[in-house]
Amino acid sequence: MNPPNPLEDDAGLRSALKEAHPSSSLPPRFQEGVWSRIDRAERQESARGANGLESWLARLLRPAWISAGLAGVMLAGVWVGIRDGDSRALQEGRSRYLAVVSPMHRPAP
Amino acid sequence: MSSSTPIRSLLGALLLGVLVFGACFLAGSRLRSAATLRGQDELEWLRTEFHLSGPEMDRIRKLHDGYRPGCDALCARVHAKNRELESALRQHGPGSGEVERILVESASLRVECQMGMLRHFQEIAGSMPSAQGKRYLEEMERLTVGLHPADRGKGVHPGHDHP
Repeated sequence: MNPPNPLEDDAGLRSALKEAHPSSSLPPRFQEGVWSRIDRAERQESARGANGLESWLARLLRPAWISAGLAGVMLAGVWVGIRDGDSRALQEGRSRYLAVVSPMHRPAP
Repeated sequence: MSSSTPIRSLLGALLLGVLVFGACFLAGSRLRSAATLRGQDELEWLRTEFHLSGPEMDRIRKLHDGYRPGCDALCARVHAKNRELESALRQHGPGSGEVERILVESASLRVECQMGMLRHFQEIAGSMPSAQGKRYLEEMERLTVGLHPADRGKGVHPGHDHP
């Protein structure tokens, strides 16, 4: 058996509700409140973007990525250095040959 | 403040990368050139640059060994003449007859030296395959007597005045 609904029995309340006229006027500072909420929402969105960049950088700067990057940079540096060393050795070899065959290119004793 | 920390770390990592690259480049370059030049004789450049075979190198080495004593003697005379010129310039000044005499002798020595060199280069070029020989000759003439390959074969054209 259902318990009795107190609202159905409250005639006074029913009549008060019937007589009530909802006010159509906006609460004070309503527009200011709306703009303030929009502004806050935009700031939160921008903060989420900055957090995204931060988290991406944090992922990039993990030790594993740093180690891999450094290894790549070391290999590239050594490879370019070896090519440069070959070129320098060739130039130095040419200077040595020239100093032997040309008395004018030989340094004074 | 919190967002600047990862950017600072990124800049630090980039700087570290540049430093590591530079250090590896320098080390690689120095070690490689030192290792390549270590124990190399003076003709190694010819073999590498002109891709010469063993028999070609043997012929060239024989010519080179025959040329060396005369070249060394000329070299000693060139240096002696330079010292003589330096001393005459100090003692008599640039306009003196003594300086002029030494300069003429020095020029004559230079001609003798260049003639010997050019003959030797011609012989060496003849011991190489023709394309390499031509390239060798052009390179040597450019380096020793300042003749540019573009000037070769131009000569003096009739009807043109050359000051």
